[in-house]
Amino acid sequence: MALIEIKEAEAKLHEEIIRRTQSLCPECNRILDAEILERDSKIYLRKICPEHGEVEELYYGSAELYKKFSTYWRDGKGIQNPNVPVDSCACPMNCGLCTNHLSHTGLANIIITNRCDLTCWYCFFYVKKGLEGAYVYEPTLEQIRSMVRTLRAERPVAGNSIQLTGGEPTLRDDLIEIIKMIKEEGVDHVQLNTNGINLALDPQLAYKIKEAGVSNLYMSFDGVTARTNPKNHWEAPYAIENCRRAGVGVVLVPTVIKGMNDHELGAIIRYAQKNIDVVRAVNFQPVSLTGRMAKQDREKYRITIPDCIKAIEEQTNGEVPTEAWFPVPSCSPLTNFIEVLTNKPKYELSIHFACGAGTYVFTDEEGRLIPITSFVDVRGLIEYLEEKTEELKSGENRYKVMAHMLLKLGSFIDKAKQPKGLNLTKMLLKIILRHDYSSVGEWHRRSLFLGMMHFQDKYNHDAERVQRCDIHYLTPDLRIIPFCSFNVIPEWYRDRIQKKYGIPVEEWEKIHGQKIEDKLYKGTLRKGEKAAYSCGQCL
Amino acid sequence: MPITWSNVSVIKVKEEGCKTRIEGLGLKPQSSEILLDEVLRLKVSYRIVGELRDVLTQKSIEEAYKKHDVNFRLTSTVNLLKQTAPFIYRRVKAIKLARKAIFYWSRDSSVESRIRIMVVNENGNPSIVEQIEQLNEKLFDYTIKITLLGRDLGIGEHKLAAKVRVKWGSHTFINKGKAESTSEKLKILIKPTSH
Repeated sequence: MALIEIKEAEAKLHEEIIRRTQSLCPECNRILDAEILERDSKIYLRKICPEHGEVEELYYGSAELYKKFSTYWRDGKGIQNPNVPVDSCACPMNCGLCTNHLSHTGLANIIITNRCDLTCWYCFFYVKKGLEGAYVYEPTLEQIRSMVRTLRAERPVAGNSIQLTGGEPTLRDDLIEIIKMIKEEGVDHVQLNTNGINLALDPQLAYKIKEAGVSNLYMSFDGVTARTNPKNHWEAPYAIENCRRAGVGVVLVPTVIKGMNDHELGAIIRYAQKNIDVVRAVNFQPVSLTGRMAKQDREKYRITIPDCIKAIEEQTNGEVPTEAWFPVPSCSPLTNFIEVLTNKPKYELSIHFACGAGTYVFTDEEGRLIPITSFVDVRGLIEYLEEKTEELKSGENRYKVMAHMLLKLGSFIDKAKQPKGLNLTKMLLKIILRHDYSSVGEWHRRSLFLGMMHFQDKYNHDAERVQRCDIHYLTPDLRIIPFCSFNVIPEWYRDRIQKKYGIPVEEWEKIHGQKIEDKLYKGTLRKGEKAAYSCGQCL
Repeated sequence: MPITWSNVSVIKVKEEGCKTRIEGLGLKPQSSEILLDEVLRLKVSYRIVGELRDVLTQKSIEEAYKKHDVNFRLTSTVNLLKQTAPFIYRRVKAIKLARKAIFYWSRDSSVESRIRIMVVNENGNPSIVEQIEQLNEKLFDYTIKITLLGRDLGIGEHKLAAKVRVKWGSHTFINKGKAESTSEKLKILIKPTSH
């Protein structure tokens, strides 16, 4: 037996299988049984394809955090009106959403173009002119309206949050019309997923999108140096400044790759903190290793949510500790409480606990980051809300429960430690009593949300995660497809749909009287001069 | 058969047997004598038996899941009482704890039932249970450690007892309810510190 095989056999002796699920063969897409196992305090996913052999992948960088987060597991109600009725579950083959999907749509993506003004080598989202069969995908205004109506028709909870994405969505000439139409259809939250370049170049664009109804930008921002963020290092500060003037909130979205930019996570947070008046959140996305990749390359680049959390703790000198983070479904007790109180279905945030995590930080006068857990007993509050929800469900008088809550809520908050000028008890009561969109907005304006969302790839694919996904894509065939089906298996979803509803590049160029490359960014703001609104973190 | 007092009594006992109750409540000290500055370690153990224990079956759990009843929460309040006069007790320590059973749809093809159960204990430790017996044990059998300083009781002999209350909410498989029990008294002697 070779030395490497002996080592592998020894490692298997020290592992414990903690869950079983299903996954995909990265080679042939065959649905495989998979094991989630603990070894060396980390969590791995292992599967064996009868044809292509065994694949083992790092699933979660900390077994301790995995176990802690798993206690917040809550399956959602799913949707009452699935677009794809199925008798038996064959995830991820019939996405659309199907009868067996367990979360309603939390955020719906609409790709409004696959054209982009950048040509990043690693990106698979934009049309690559010159490739055989290249097509431009740009749904018409009426197609988009139908997609939005499909979302709004979702029951028991009508979808209320849309992200316009691409390619680069600001390349659409009718962007403002699209935004206005979505607002007309009754959607409260519209965010624009962009590289920010056009917003940096055209200060008026921020005003226009604000007026049309955009709530915030979802802006790619991979680091604070030109080396880690070649995409928009020089342009992002201009885009942020233009959004500040126009009153548009910004969410910074770093894609985190081990060895590339994972040393700058703390600096990204500091940059967001410096711009807390306009930056609402930083949403870190550990890289999804799409395409075929050798094991040593995956090990080189793979980073998971706990690894990012640990790096943030180290890079903020412990100001944002690991304990400050909670998985996304930990919000369910609050939404469930409001649902029972009002007797109206509410957003559930019932995604899988391993998909995402988050925390809120505030900033004090000395510029330190104050995580919510340093002055709020978050776990105690969650337990309390669960208890009160159960009492309401069991027929307890709602006024009695509310009265108890009014008296009790303050006890979870250490007023001496809470940042100056912040009255969290009052803010929480407004959210619970008024349970409306403006209350949530006020909360977000006073704090910086730090989030993580780890989209999957074929190596770490877990069908239990897909089944609970609440970040979806709306498509012209009026399906609603989970993110990690749409992008992880493009040959079944993204590419197939876009090709069907797209047109050849040459035809698009003829119709529009322009070349695809005409809109490519020429680097106007990166001629070697320091930007007027430099991030100040440059090394 | 004519109804007699003895028959009525049998029926009543049977009905009560179906209800949920706390069984085997015991309070045990690690040592019955300690010094004033030492730590007194006590163990409270009890089991919840009857209707609540019996009603949780794979079938009832799957039925509950279908109606989106996916989270069962069981709260226990353990009060450590000290007798200060005949029939009069003072609470020395109270512990509130919650255990949860989370029902979820599993993609584990090695088991027949698609709904699995994860129990989260009072310390926040999760475990996925394989069988109903395991669920019962993890959810309904308790051993709780209580520690307090001899100083909290004071020098002298003390009579202690544990009073346990458990409660749960309404679910598809059971109505809301509670159960209560008090342990036998035990004697603890606190001696002055030797120096």
